[in-house]
Amino acid sequence: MEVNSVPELGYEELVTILQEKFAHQIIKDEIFRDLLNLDIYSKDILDIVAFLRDDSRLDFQLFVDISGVDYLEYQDDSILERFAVIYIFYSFHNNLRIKIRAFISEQKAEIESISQFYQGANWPEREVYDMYGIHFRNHPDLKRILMPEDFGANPLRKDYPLQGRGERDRFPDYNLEKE
Amino acid sequence: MGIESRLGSYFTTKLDKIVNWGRKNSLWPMPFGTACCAIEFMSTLCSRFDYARFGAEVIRFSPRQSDLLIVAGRIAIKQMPVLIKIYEQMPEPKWVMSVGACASSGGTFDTYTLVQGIDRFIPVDVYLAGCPPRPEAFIDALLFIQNKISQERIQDKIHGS
Repeated sequence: MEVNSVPELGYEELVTILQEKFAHQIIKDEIFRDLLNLDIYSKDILDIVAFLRDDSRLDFQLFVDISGVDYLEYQDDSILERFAVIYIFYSFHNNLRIKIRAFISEQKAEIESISQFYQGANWPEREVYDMYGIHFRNHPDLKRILMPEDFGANPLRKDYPLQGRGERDRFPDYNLEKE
Repeated sequence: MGIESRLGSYFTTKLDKIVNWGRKNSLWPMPFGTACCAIEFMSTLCSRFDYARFGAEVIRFSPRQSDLLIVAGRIAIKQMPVLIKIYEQMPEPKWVMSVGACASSGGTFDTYTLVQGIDRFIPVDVYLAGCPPRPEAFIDALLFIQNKISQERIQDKIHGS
């Protein structure tokens, strides 16, 4: 891998670069304890992630994690939609961390998959799909990863009861008397 | 039909005794360990508690070679079909030990993902209380199963009841 000769950035410069490029897309930016938090809408995720990875000044090589959030009945003005998917990236070159929160509406719970940019996003996206029912467009293999394939519910949604809806008692395919 | 009609009842009772003596003193456990109960079972096997004193030290990780299924730990609903498959693969006669609160009742995990007691899906011979149970409880459960075996009759198994 070739050495990146571009000088290192700090968080302030990173915000400036991002604001120049995505002034209309970024809803909120905040630097807090060595972490840049960005709020965006789900439609802009692919542009921003591609820029973060491919721009030689930013050079966010490492994809860290994806997680989902359900903000049902959440009393806070900064929450714009019911769901959000949170992406964390890290830049070795600049020693910077960025957390992107992409809001997703309840009616259209889908977002573009970033697994074309980061291979490691494949399974975390499947996990979010499994737990929250958020559909990732253009994902290579979008199916449940933790729950059984015929589970039929998204257990980490806030309106899903802790004890489930009877899934743990239903085993139609495994009957000991069958043989 | 069956051996009891061709031979006298005296002979079959003695045969029961001999076969049961052999079965109860050479139980081969198949550990299905998914949580801390399995760690406790390991210590039960080791020299301080020494399961081998009761003839149950030959751990087989193949269900086809064992006759005592030890379900030690919580069983998720995705795992229950696997456990049922393993139970079905074990040759008769077979016995099942449900170890600890989670396998017996779901324990503290009263959630959407956990089976609330394996006895909803496979027959259980002995339940061990505890979270996890002490090694003494494992020994007590084994003695319970040995006692149960010694009261069985071969003709019950032959007739498939």
